Amino acid sequence: MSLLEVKNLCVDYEMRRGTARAVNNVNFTLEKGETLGLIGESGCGKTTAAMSILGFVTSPGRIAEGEVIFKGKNLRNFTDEQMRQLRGMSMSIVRQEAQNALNPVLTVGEQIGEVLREHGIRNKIDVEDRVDSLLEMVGISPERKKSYPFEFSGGMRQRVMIALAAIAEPELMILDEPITGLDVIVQRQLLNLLNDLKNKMNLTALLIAHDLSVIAEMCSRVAVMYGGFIVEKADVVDLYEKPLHPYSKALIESYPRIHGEKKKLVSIPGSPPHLLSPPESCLFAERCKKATEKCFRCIPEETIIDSRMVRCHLYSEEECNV
Amino acid sequence: MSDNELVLKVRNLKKYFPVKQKEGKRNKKAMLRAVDGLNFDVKRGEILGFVGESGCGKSTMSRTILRLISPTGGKVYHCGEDIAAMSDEEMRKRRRSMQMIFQDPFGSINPRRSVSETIRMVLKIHKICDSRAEEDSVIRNILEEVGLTPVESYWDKFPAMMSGGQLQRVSMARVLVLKPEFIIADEPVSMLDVSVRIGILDLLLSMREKHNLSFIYITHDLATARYVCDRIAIMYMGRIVETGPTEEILGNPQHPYTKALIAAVPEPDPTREINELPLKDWTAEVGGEDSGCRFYPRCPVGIDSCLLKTPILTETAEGHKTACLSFDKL
Repeated sequence: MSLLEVKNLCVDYEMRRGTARAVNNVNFTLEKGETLGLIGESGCGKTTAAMSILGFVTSPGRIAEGEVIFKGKNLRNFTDEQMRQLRGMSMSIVRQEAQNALNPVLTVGEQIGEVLREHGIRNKIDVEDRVDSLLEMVGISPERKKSYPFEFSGGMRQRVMIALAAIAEPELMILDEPITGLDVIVQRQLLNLLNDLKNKMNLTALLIAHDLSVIAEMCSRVAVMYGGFIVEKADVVDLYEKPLHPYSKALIESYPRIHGEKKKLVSIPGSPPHLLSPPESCLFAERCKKATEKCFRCIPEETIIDSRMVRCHLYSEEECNV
Repeated sequence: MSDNELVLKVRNLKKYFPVKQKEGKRNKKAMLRAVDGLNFDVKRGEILGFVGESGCGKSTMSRTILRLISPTGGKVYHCGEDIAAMSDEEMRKRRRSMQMIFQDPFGSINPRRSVSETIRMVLKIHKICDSRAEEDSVIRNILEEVGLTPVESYWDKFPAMMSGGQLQRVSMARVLVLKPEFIIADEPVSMLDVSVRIGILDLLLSMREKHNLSFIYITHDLATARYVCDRIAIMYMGRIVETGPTEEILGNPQHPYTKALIAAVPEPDPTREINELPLKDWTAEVGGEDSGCRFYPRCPVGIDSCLLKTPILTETAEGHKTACLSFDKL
């Protein structure tokens, strides 16, 4: 049994001007110990998809269809209290922009202690010991627990966030752009820290990024999202070496790199689709170099090729029903 | 080379900020050396990259060059003329040919002005056009040039209705309409999605081609710097530690800090081995000591004399200079 199974997930945002489907028929599974990457441009629905796993989709958003099955149980049937129990204990999240996620008027140690007490550790000395060991685990000297978040650098604050997320040794950790906005050397150190923790705790993780390189260094499998759909799902190496979907290919070709020969890079023309009134066709068709007449007529279905999933008319022979 | 070919000449540029430093229980006044003795030239039509991490002084440097803040010491020459000696009025005129593009397009463009008004404002301030009709045609041309087409659909748009990439094109248009000689682009693509970054960088390159513009491209991202820059200067704590042609720096880095930076960049290739960072102790306290190498506390190859002697930029290959005592044999 997979640790997490997301089936036909659809998330809608009800707005005054209409309904935007931010996540559209998304399917994926996470096996124990695996790290799955979710990649796509801003607004492609990757964060919304992750938030619906944690039960964090709130009005005007709502899960319209589909199931989120965690350890065999459908989370959509869980009450708020049951979800609250699950969060922190079994699943946790590291968000982007740690500076906004930490309480500025509590010391770092107090904040970690607060969460520990919430998880049932009442003894004062035990709490202090755990705070020390958690900070040490993420590479911060325990003496620094008396510091306030503003006295920490961005990278250290992100380390504290990781410590907080790891408190109860959750089975599933959602990493939402954990290293975006930090300096390269700090990024590298955080990547190493996350990879270490993953191995030590046999962590299952869902990593959200807009940046292929982070995915390449942490994940074994990757799902590419575009306009709310997962357009391709594959092994990271397969995707990198032979992307099937034209969007995945364009993403890889637009990525500048510093090793190897200098290549001419190609940007993706146009801009992401407007989700309020999407066309009944492939959403990428307008920006796609390989688009045919069929692409403008109907939405491509999931097609399996060599155990990879791709949503593109180039790979399906089926005719449109419309 | 004649000074006319050098659009910008910077000599021993310094900017210090007074700060309070704790010494025991007392506060002591000290100077934070944000920019500490920079020397470089920018030729006409050249793109020079400044690469460094947050707090290394890149942005302070650009503000000092444009005299948005006044330098503590040193000289900045624009086409052979000393900027510091100019009156405020002269400087205002001069800024027409020295422009800046900022990192955050959402913060640097007035949200209550439409695209055409944003650019019209610039034309008015610098008194470029005689009539409204002339303004309209200038705005139309520049929007076409930066790729905001069809122009009509962007004319009355407000920033809230546009994406980061489109707004950054508006920033470019607003700057280019003044026909500057020299532009400082301060992290122009770091807030944008990877897929639109290349579009903006290509625009920058084509503007250079078309108008023979010079750029200072400031970034923390070596990969985009490689894409646009002819030469790169690596900055660490207010000083240039290594400079040279882009491919030479990336292919043959000499300074231990440059080596660490290059090793840290994540690559999209999942088959590549991940290396250990060649650093001693990244968390080591660093101060802005007056003498000695500022990278010493983190340097894996530092020796005792690094603490005493300030390394100066020494040529290690043609056009490639490194400020590290291991090359400074004098």
